Amino acid sequence: MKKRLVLSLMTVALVALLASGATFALFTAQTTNANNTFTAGTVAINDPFAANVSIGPLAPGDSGDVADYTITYSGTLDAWLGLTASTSGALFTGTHPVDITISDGTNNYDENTAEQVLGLFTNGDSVTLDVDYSWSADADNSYQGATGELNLQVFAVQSANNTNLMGTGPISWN
Amino acid sequence: MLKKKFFLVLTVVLCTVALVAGGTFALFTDSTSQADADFVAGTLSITSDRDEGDPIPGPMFYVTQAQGEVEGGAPAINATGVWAPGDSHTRTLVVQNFDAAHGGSSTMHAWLDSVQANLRSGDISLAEKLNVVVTTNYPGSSLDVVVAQGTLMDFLNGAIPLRYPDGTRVPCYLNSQWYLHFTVTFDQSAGNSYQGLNLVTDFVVNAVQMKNNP
Repeated sequence: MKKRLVLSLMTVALVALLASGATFALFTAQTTNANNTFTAGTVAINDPFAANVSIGPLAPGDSGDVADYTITYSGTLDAWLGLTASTSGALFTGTHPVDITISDGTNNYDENTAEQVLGLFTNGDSVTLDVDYSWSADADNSYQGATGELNLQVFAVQSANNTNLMGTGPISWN
Repeated sequence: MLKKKFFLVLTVVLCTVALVAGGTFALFTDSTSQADADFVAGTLSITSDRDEGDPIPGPMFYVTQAQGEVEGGAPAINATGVWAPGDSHTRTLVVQNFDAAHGGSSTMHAWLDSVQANLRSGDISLAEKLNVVVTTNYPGSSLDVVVAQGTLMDFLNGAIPLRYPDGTRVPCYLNSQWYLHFTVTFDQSAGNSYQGLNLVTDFVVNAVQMKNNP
């Protein structure tokens, strides 16, 4: 009788335990590798074109300096710098348009071409673009009062994971 | 008759006195020695060190040599530098399960069960663009396979299970060590808004007993 009672009590207890959703607590342990640091680099250039420059009034035969622009690279990642130059307006069209030369002292850049590679820059590097103009003395009266605009923009893009196979420029400027 | 009664009473009285006074009986006895059964629970303990030839201890991933160096020790040699979108670096964590005779305190085999990350400081948004892949080899094989992956944000949000492609767990037997390779890639789609962001995290490997836990 007693044996039966004890057995019944044990059964009840076991069922109660299972019904209550009891979990097992296995031994666990941890190991930590601390202080892993990740820092994203930066791509940054100054803006030397903030102020507009006015050239004129021009007469056929005139020439001179538009401006010297110094671009300084201050990013923490190496970067390709590029130049886009474009002209618009009547002074830059026709039979005797105003001619623009852009030079960094070593290379010349075209006044109407996008994404010209200035080079691979690292933090602290700079380049000065000497921009000059000249106008043929043969420009005729059709140019009187004409206007024109020269647009220059310099941009930078990371070189890491973005350099062409020849190593001469970026795969993409964006 | 009276005498008999007297002696009987006297005997009873004497016996009672003897009992009250604490008198003992010397009965024949025997016994065994006391058997002490001692129970002791085992311990599960794992440790880890970075690899790749770096001095230990120290973090697997660090940007500058100064961040990775061991105080008073040899210089660190695997600085990642600042990260550019598309950059990827792989570092190795050696997890050890050693008993006291081998410099540890474990007494049992273990499963390496999961990996998680804990944020220490910095901009957590960077974690969304850092993709983490953990690889290791099958026991007895040199073939590396993926056992856990996700963004670093996933690992910060909770433990990611370490499982072979077939669903089995990664073993770390007593008195053995296991190599986990962490490959972190900065998503190439990360835009300029992530420039200059910094993040410091811990990587944590969780282990569980192997016995009674298939």
